[in-house]
Amino acid sequence: MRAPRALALAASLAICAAAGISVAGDKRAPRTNYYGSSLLAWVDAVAAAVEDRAHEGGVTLVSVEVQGGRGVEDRKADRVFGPRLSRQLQSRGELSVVQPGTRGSLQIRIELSLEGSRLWAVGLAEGGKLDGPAALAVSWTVDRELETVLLSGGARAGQARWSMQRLGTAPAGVLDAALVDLDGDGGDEIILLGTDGVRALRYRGADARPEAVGGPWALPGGGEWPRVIAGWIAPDGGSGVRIGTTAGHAATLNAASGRWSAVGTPAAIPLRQPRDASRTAWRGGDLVGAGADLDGQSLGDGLPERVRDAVLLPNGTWIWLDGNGRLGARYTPSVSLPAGRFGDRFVLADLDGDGTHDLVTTSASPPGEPDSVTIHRLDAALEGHSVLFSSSLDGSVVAVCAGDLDFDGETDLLLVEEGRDADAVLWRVERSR
Amino acid sequence: MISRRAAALVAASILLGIASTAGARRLPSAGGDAIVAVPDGLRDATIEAHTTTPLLERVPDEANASERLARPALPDRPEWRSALLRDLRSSEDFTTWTLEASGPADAVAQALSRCLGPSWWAGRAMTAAGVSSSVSVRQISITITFGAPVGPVPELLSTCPVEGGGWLPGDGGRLASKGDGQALLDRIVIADALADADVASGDPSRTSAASLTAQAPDVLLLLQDEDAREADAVLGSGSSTALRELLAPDLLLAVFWGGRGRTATGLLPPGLAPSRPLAQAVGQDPPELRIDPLPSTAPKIAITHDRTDPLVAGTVERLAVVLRSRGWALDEDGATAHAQLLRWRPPTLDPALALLALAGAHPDLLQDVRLADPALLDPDPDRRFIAVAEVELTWLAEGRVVPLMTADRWIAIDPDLRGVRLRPDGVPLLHEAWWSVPRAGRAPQAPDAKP
Repeated sequence: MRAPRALALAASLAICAAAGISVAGDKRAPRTNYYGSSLLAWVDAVAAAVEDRAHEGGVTLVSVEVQGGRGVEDRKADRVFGPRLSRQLQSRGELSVVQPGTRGSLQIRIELSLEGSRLWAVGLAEGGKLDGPAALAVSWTVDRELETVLLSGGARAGQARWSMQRLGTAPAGVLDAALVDLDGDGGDEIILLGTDGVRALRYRGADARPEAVGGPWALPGGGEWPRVIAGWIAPDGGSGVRIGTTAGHAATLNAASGRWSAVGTPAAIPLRQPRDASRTAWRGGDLVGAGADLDGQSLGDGLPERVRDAVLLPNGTWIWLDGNGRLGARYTPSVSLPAGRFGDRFVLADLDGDGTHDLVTTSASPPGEPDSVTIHRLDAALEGHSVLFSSSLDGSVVAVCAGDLDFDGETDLLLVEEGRDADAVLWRVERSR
Repeated sequence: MISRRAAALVAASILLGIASTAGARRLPSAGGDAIVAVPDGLRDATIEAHTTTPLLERVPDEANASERLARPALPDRPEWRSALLRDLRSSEDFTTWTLEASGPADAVAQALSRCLGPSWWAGRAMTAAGVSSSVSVRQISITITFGAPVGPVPELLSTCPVEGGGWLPGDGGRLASKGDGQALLDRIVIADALADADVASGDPSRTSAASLTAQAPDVLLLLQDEDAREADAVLGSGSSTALRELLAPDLLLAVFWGGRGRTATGLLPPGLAPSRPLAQAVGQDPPELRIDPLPSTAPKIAITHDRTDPLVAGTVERLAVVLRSRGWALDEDGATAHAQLLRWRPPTLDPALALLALAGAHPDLLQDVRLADPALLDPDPDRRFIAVAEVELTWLAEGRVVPLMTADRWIAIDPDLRGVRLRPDGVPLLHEAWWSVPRAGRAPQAPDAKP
């Protein structure tokens, strides 16, 4: 009985040695540069284990559900680990991630937990040609990054403090900004759309200043009008951004290669969408405007003639800022939004970590005049709101966006302020623990 | 004015004196005795733990630099330290392990032979895995040769007791310090009764004491033989979830175990194994319990259990009600199906070895061919866990093992007794224990000694 087992083990040792894999516990060689991120390295190791099970099951479609176990916040597992795992599976190129219950897919449920000094991702795969439920497990030593991003900390409900931190400066002429994870390291890069083009900045650590990591990439030619007065930028769902300007630019920039490609109609404005609970709902925008179609969906009657900014919630509700700077919404019967006139941009994101959308508005001050920024908490049904934070700035807020700047798995708010004859100033607003 | 200054000086001196006395009392001081109350099942293990030295000890994660220096780790295995070994190495294929003793090797080899035999959990685990072993000695070098690759040997042998230790066994469960500086207390008395014990294992009534809770709890498991599984008396065509709902483990734990524990869904408890998804229960809501008279022809099932354990006995009583509602009588005479309600105390914190040890002690589990999966003894803990998780899934699906509840394993300690530790299997360790407040005039008596 022992002999076949010994032979089998010897054979597997030989195969592993030939493949450069150690059976002594070393993980697979990384397929991408993780930029020192243990979270991404762990996620990739889990993705590799999922691929192995998918191969055994003879499928290329997988659905993944992630939840927190001992010591890991369920919310963080869902928001931090789950989307990164899906993205990593997609980027490895062998599997397609689909919704749970999709026919012909392998269903994988994963629980994250802390045991001793190691974090475990233990999964159960069912479906395909697998004989029965099959397990997968990948453990990783807890370091400061994983501790911050995943482990249970103090509750963020109740009284909280908000802080506003000056990050640094950027050349003047910023029209819009977006936060996009260009390099897949789990932290977002700052993408600024300016009159001279698009540039990418990276912010790392409390003491660091944003450093230029790409661009400026000049706006592509062929604009319908000579002057760029206003511009819009939104992530395209991958490692690029989509832009639109009042000069008629409508293009996608691959931030890895710096190459532009024209998309859409010249008048298209990329639509920003709120981050949903999984932080993966950023999709490339499409045309929004009076009577326009979005992905074939007619907005129909009731949309104002002029829209400065708009977002589409996951439940199909539209929220917009009309030409007079007033907020409006559709497809929600009893919505209650902050009244008054606001600036050109607004943001919907979960900034206080309570699982509901927060609305960020700026005051309707003329360009160059002192501005203010306000964070409103919207309740889940959009039937009530309250002010969480409000602060004044010296100049005018020209761009506002949300994302994870400091790699803590929580959503930060980025403001770009410009005064007269001065560089743009980048601010981060975050809720203190 | 002078008198005021003098008074202040006197007051300050008194305060300083009190402070220095308090400070001095916080330093470990030798002497005194302690009474330790443990259940019968832990009595021998507690005595053995104090009269022997473990072959290996895992360096705690929280150990600081000075602690690591004070107890040097093995050269190639920094997570392990040993007072008896200088080195521990394996062959490339993990079939041969060489241990270099820091002193005479005979005692270590003798202990290893015993630990790899049927009387020790490690030996039973190897039996379950179908792996043979032999131990040989040459000067200070000891070689263990396994019949198949065995990766987690440090985990397997960590608690293996070797002659030595700071205590000498005496009559009536008394242990006396050897006086060689290894132990701080003069005497330990191992008792059965919880009353007057300075260290009491799992005493729900003790609320004013300090307590230590083990990393992994005990698990109450129902092991079913093949007849019981086929008869389906316990699960009654439903899921184990439905059974647990009828059983109400929370109430049983509240009544018999101070509420310390919870419903168990897996065989491997938290602390031993990471959180993991288990197969989703498929079944209907449990039917309401009915207490109808049973005909004399009703089928009978026997559930063997430890009648001295109140939590186990209480659970069996409740199970009898559930079984009766399904038309089964709990009776040993004429039983056509047999089960065992086991309070499982994993002997190690390695999930795969713990499961193998469990199987090695229970013939119904031992017959499973999946236990021969080499991955259960892989050097990589991730691969070991994948293998053990799949065995667990299978056993749960087949109903071989029905987990009912976990029961925390803890000891209550007199707050003045410092330095007590708890071994993963629930044995209290008093090697470094000392009284922070001297216990004057306390006679070291065995509980059976009458005044």
